[in-house]
Amino acid sequence: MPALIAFAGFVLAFTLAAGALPAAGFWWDLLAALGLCSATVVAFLGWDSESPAAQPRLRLHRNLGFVAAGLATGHAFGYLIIDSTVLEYLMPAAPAYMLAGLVAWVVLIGITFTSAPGSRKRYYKGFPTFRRWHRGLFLILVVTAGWHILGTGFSLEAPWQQGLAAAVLCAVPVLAYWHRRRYGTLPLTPGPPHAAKADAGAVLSCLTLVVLSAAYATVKLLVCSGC
Amino acid sequence: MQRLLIILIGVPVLIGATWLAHLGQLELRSNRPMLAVTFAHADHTTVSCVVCHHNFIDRTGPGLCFDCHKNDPSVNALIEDQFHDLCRGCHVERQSAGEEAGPTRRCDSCHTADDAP
Ligand code: HEC
Ligand code: HEC
Ligand code: HEC
Ligand code: HEC
Repeated sequence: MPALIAFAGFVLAFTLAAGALPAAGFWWDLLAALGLCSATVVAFLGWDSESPAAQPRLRLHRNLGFVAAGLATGHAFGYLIIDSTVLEYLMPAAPAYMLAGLVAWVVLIGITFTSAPGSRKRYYKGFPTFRRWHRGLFLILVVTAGWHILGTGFSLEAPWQQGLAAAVLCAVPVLAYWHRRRYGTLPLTPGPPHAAKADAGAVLSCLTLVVLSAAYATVKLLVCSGC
Repeated sequence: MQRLLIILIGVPVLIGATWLAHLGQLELRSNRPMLAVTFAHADHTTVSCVVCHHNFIDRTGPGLCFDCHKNDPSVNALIEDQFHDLCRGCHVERQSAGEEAGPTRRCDSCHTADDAP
């Protein structure tokens, strides 16, 4: 969990480093940061999820999935609430990178809610099928979310920032693959069932990420004199 | 063999579908009603007329911006990109330089109805 927070903090600091301006007001920037945090959590979950080493953390893995989905939902619906023109981005004529964001959100909701202990058995036949789909959906999620972040260029404007971010995004599935090769795959049968239950780690992560986002928006507000 | 067949058929179908979706999007963008926008010359007295009124010098023709940019099929699908580049681009540049600037992100700051020229 500290690693996750550090990672998210780094991502936000990185976007501030060369693009503290333009700022667009506290709420707009806060919602932007929530989106970035959601993507950070997704990338983080992709990285060491499939090895036996990750098994003791499977509950955290699942609950962080819900955190990512929650942050992304706040990000999307928040914009619709504070800025009604954003509705244009839900139209079929919207820029492709916005529709990609919409797809990413739908996939994220899908991948989390169909993977909870009870529903997984309902939606997938067999554990290997589940894992194949989970991996596939994760890849679609990384591609569409990356397209959305880089395409809007709202947070990462300079070409070098976009290039670096693209490299990190490509590294996510590669690292996940490498990690699996290095540490071995999970057994083909699921671990012992455990009840869906919130854990302190996930709740704390979520709160910390929201606080980080608010700090990010405050920094932008302070840097920008005319906002 | 089966896999190769799927790739050989699937990839062109995917590319074709993307292309069709793209054409459909252009069609929709050309024909949608104009989104309300506010603009006041009074806020832009420091900007040279031809930065915006390019048609004063480049012989694209006479008229108002949106007469051409909403109706001329050669440009009306691009209005969102071109006007965001022009308007938002300048605001972003000025804000980043620490100068007075107009809206850089918030859609509602520009996209509200107004009747001032
Ligand atoms: C920042 C961009 C920009 C600059 C600079 C600018 N204009 Fe405009 N102008 C516009 C836009 C956009 C419209 C259309 C306004 C609308 O539809 O509300 C317009 C409309 C007009 C109109 C038509 C108004 C009407 O409603 O009939 C005239 C005349 C005009 N501009 C003259 C000028 C002159 C002269 C200058 C230089 C002193 C100038 N403009 C500078 C963007 C600009
Ligand atoms: C007579 C028709 C006409 C009028 C009037 C007109 N435009 Fe254009 N505009 C065009 C055409 C045609 C192009 C594409 C020209 C080209 O590609 O060189 C264009 C291109 C542009 C571009 C893109 C330029 C680029 O290099 O990407 C912008 C921005 C733009 N116009 C803004 C405006 C604004 C703002 C006004 C009013 C203040 C205006 N135009 C008035 C016809 C017009
Ligand atoms: C070359 C630079 C430039 C371009 C191009 C430009 N603007 Fe601006 N705009 C400014 C500046 C500078 C201000 C701030 C003026 C001030 O506050 O004194 C401003 C302010 C504004 C405001 C805010 C007014 C307010 O009450 O706060 C709006 C809205 C606006 N612009 C809309 C537009 C639109 C729409 C276009 C495109 C048609 C456009 N601008 C193109 C420089 C530009
Ligand atoms: C600096 C002012 C400005 C800001 C900020 C701005 N726009 Fe625009 N936008 C324009 C102008 C000017 C046009 C061209 C005139 C029009 O179509 O209303 C335009 C066009 C559009 C169009 C095409 C509408 C049409 O008539 O076909 C869409 C969609 C759009 N904007 C959405 C947005 C969204 C969503 C946001 C916020 C993320 C946003 N805009 C922010 C100035 C702005």
